Amino acid sequence: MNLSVGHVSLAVPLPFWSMAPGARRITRPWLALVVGAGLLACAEGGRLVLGVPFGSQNGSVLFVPAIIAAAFLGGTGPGLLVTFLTLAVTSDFLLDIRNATAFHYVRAITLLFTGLISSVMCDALRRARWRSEMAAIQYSVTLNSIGDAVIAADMQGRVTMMNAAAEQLTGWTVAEALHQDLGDVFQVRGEDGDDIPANLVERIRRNGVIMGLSGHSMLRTRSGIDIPIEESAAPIAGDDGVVEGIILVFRDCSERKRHDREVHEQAERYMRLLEVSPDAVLVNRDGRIVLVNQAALRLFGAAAAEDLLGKSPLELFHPDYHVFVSARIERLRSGLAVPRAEEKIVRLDGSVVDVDVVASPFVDQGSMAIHVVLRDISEHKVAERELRQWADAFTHCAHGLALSHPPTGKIVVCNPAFARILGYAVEELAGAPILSVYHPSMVEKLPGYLTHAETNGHVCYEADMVRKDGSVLVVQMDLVTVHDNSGKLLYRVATIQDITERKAAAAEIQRLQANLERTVEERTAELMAANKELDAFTYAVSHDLRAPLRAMSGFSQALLEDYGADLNGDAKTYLGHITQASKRMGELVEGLLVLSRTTRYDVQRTTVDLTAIAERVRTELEAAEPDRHVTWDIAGGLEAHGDPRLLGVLMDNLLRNAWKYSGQKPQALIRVGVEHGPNGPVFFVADNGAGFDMAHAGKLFQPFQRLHRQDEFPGIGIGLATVQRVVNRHAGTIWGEGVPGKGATFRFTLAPPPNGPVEEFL
Amino acid sequence: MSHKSILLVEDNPQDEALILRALRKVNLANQVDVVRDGQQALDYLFRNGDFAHLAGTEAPTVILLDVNLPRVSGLDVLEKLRTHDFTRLIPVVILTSSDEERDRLRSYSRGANSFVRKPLDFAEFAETVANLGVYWLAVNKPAHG
Repeated sequence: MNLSVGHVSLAVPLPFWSMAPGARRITRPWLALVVGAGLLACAEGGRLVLGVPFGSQNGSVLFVPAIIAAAFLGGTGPGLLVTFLTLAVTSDFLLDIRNATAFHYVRAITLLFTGLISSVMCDALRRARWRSEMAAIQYSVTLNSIGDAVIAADMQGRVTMMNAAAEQLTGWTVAEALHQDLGDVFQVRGEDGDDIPANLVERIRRNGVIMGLSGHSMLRTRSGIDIPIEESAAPIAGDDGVVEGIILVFRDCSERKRHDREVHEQAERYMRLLEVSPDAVLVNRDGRIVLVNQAALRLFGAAAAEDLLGKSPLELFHPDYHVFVSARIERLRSGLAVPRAEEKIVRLDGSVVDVDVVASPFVDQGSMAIHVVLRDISEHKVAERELRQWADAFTHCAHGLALSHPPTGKIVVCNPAFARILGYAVEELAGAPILSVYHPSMVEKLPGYLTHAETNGHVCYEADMVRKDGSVLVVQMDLVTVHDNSGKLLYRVATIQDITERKAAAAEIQRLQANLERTVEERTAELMAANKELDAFTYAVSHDLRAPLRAMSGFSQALLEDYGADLNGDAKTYLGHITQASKRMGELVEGLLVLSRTTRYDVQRTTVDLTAIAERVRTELEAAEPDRHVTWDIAGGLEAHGDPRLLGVLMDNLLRNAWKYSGQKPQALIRVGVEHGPNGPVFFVADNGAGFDMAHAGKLFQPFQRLHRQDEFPGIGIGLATVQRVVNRHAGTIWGEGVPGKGATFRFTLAPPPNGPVEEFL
Repeated sequence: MSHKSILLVEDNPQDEALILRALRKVNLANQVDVVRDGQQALDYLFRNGDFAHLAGTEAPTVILLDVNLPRVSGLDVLEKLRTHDFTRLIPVVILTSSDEERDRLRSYSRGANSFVRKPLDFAEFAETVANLGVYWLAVNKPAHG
């Protein structure tokens, strides 16, 4: 049998002598022996009919079919057995060995040889046929069991064979398709619509090579459905190389196409995800960066992916992290997971950025690769640091701070000071209603405060609170509301300060102040009463004391004028004494009046021209006593800051004193000027008159105290007392220096003017 | 010819005597009426009480008015007489011992025409009073008459 593919009609039933494949055996010895023995018996029977005696060598050829049958069915063994049986029934010459001729031996050996040859040849034939059958069966089974569809056709384009897969794909059964035109059974078009098999057979025959078709073909099944297939075709050549037909192998590739599409879509999705990711993503394969996304370019400050591709991942990390990163890469390359980590990267411009790193291994193009996801956390770090600082401030703040959640009125968080002030542990207050730390008396007032805080963003009030141990304290509460961008109230922030002690102290101060005020009021009232009395007294002095004096002096004078002629010398002298005494008392009263005025008047400060005052007094004095020769040395531009009326009194008294006490000097000298003292100007009035003994200087400024007798220098002893009052009222100082017979100098200072125009308000 | 007169309001008899003496020296004493307190002064000026019999007679040409007076003070008298037509225009000379600024201010603000302090010196006093009498009765031209 020719085993070339072209001659095999695998789908056609095997020849009649073929047995069912499952029952096939390579040898059947018993069948061979029975058949051989039967044929042997038939041959011996035929010899007997022909008259050949049993055991004769004649007609041995009749036994050859028995030998062949036995060998064909049972192999070499049964053939040789039958051969030996034949020898046995044809070898009686051995019984009469002495009469045996060489011819006998030749004939026996020939038979033996013929049997041997026949057995071997028949066995070979049998085996060859079996192998051929088995090959055909295997081929058929294989074709039917493979997933690919196979259709064979002869050179006329008639289908000669198709397998089960082809039946299924095309919708044709073998029985229907056999001898049909290949173009009808295998309706295939390229994606461009070409009808490929029109000249398929011819093309294959001409090219004579195994070839794939378009690769994008569509098979139209018998029921009219198009299925994408992959196909290949090959010519079938005989042993002589002549092409006897073609064979088409094809398979449904819709599954693969869908798979390809899915793979493509997945890749697309992956790339898109990569590009939209806000986190930087790097792919590290074989120690090189092979893929980066846009976020990675931004993170590293790269203009293009090429700036990063091909680099070693370590180049991108800060040297401090090289050991750490290497260890992680090692782990990842072994397929192990690594935890999230904070690392530092170095941007292309050299700046360092804190990043959060997540990495995971995967297989890329057959190698272990690593997805590295980086998130810039530098801002986060800064925020974290600031947050920590604020947390420190919150924790260590001496004022109590608490955040409450407006809808629930519960304390969200509070600082240690808040808890300490209220005698709680911080944990006890977290989640506690804020009302629980208020004194019940506050409950009514609170809504008002909260409304105020809501309106103004802020409210301050003193609140009674209750400590954990039940004791009551007063705090200064400072409540601020915190809103989100849409104006929704998020939190209230309460700042408290324990002011219990402060309140007590304030109350004490207030009490003391009230006492003080009362005392001051009482004293003021007393003082005012005293002043009033003094006022009344002075008034009385000025009016009521003067009237009797006037009467005494007046009537004495009237007496002298009207009755002088009737009076003797003594009477006139006495009347003169009365007049003198009343005049002197008048002067005393006048002096007292002036003195008291210096105390009563309000000091109204302004700039006072002392030079002008001195000149005025000089003019008055010279007019009163034109005969005196007094040299005046009055400095120009003497300015003082004080009450003009009081300073007038002061200068008037000092100058009149100087005038009076220099009265006995033929060359009197009165000087008025200013010197520079440590605390401002020192004014002076000096004369070269009688002077005084410094031993009595202590009496100078006391009222009614005089250092000279009335007959030396008349006076009432009230001028310098008045001068000192005036200086005192200007917060100044006055002192006198005198040398008896040489003169006296009085120096005085006045409080310096306050700076600027404020003086006008004093 | 109208009758010119001086009303002296003075509670101190010595001062009264001295004043009258001074006026006598210049022959004006017989034209002086004296009252000794504020109420009397008002009665005299408005012709009431003891002075009702003077109704219809002329008002004084000038009033010499002390400040410190029993019953009604000189300043109150001044204030009252300045509010009545009959007395509104009569010149008033405040004649007092006081040299207090506050008294001067109060006197002028109530309409005093002059403020004269009684000097302690007799001669000076006499001269001052005499001058006053002569000035107001002889020199000064009153609003009416």
